[in-house]
Amino acid sequence: MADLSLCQSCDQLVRMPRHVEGFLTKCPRCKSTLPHSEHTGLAAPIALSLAGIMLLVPANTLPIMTLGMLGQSNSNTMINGAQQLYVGGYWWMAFLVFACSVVVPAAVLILRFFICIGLAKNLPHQMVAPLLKAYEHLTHWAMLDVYMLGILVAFVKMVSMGDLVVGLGLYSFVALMLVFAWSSAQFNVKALWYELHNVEP
Amino acid sequence: MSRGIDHNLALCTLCHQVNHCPLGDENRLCSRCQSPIHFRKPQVLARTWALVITSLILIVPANIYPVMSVIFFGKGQPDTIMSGVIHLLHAEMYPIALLVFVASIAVPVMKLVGLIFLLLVVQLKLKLNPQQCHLLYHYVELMGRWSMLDLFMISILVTLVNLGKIATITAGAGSSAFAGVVVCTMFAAMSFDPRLIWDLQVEHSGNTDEQ
Repeated sequence: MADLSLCQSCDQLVRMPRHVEGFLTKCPRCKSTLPHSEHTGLAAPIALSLAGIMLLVPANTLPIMTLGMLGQSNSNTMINGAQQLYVGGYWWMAFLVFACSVVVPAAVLILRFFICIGLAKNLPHQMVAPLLKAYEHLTHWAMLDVYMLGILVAFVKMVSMGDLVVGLGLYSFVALMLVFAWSSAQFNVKALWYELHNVEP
Repeated sequence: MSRGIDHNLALCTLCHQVNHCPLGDENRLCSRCQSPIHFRKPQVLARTWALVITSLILIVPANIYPVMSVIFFGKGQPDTIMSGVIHLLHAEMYPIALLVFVASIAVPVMKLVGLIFLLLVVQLKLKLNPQQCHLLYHYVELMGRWSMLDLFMISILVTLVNLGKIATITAGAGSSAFAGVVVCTMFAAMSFDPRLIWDLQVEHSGNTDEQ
């Protein structure tokens, strides 16, 4: 039963072909991509998630943009975006924005790092499985790419209003977003589950 | 037709482990990750309908009430989602206007229409091309998160334009409702089970065999 799998979208029973680098396996019935049990190693996701974790601090705390009008100026960071909404009484929106743009991306990067370390060090099943489960639940809610587009729209809207200056936070954020996307591409979570299975006696 | 359910095999939706479940023994834990496994997600129609109807109710205040107000030298101008798009059009920022329109109006509406369509297909057992329905579900699931764009933009503007008496931007009641729409439609898409679309094919072919 080792090479038998089920399609997650149509429940078709599939005999998985041998994995060939650079090719995707598609379900014969519904053409969804089926996850494979092979991955390209743990070194790249460890390096990329560590880079992401280091970028979290400047991206979240340095000013993204500064708006100046009539001698007064004000700047925003990722964290005080949610804070300002909370102060204004919109706690539900503040929670959602804070979760999707700050907490979940940070948690996802940290989980990726520890999952890879755990698998590389052959830590017991019981320690790594909860991390993988938490990862699977959280990963939908990391929205750095959407936030990037939000920054773009805000920038275009405000550029004619006053003196708009881009800050260091924006460069850090763009770097974080790219590193995040790259590490997502390298972190093949479905294949890592098989790795866990192999460790188990 | 060779489905997992016909062979008493159930896929864990979390970790993709294939579990052997002898008949009548559906409510058990995945052998690998210990999450509950089912042949099909439980109470799909009830859960998804509930979330879709909640979103349909919330989408009304989200579009009627202002999502944010721009206050210039004490004079406020509340903007709904649609009037924000129209302002961008008047300012001749067409690509951004299109982007905001797609993310804040087109995507939530199309998601709800798509989900209602899929729910009706499954509930009324309509004979439609499952491949096309499957593609529809795939896109509904894929584009959901992009509706958060408007909320992120509001959070950025509220913080950035905070210059006391000169200019401030405050969020409006509509934005809270809109956040509700985004979250409910995302959960609705997650609670739907695309395998039900393909089960219809088996049911239909089974019915024709009997006749």
